[in-house]
Amino acid sequence: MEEKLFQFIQDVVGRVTGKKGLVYDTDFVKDLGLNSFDIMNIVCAFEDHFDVEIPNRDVWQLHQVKDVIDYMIKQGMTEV
Amino acid sequence: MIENANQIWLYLSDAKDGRSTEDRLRRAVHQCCETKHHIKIVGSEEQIKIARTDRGKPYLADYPQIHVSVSHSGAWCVCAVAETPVGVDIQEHVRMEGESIEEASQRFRRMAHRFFHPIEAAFVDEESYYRFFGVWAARESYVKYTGKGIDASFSEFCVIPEKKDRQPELGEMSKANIWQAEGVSFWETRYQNDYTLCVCAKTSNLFIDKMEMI
Repeated sequence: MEEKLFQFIQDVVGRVTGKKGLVYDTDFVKDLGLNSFDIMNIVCAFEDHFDVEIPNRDVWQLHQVKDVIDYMIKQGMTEV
Repeated sequence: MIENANQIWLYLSDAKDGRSTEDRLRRAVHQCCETKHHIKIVGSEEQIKIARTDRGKPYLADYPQIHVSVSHSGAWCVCAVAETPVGVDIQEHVRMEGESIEEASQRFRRMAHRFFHPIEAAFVDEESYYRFFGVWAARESYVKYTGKGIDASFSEFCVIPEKKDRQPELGEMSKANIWQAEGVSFWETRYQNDYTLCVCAKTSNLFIDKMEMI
């Protein structure tokens, strides 16, 4: 399950920002250098795929790839 | 003290030159104080302490009269230095790989309705691509000015005036737009064809000096 979600995140981040080479500990801001615009684009891609609305307050708690995986499992966003 | 409280100094640097954000801010503050002779900094550039609020807004621990803001996108990082609280944002006009301007515009319209104030979203609907980046940069500069960042209230404020005849022509080349909204002033311009740059500060007559490279 985690591997499948990791692959999905990697695909979305790559498609939206062009960034590659993610690992579980990758920090979106510190390691990939993403800014707010990039993050919001990724959020929109997730929302479009899962047909959900992710609250802004949740978005800024998700620093690393593994945080997003945990969040997706918790929210039932696992049909990738 | 800085001579003109309305004046904002902008310092541009190569975002991929390996320097940390803190180093860039130190350089910008030092450069401003050295070359403008407005504020005296005690000690060397390395001794300037950059602190962060719990929301991540940078400030100078030893010089509360100097305000700073920083933004990066694509190839550029921009630092703002002022005597008044300030927010700055630079945003490259980026699209997804293989995405046309029309496709990106459609996506940006959806993003505007998702994240922007309804008045801003309607403004973007009329001419999506460059207006979207103009509004985005203005909103980012505003949340950097307030220090709140993007939080649950992100859709509640509006950075463009409500009256249509006072709306800025966001996204025009070779022209700086200056307008007031939310009790603050905005200064917005295109940079190098494919970047939008916006500054926000609580002054009645916001003045931007020529950008310097650091």
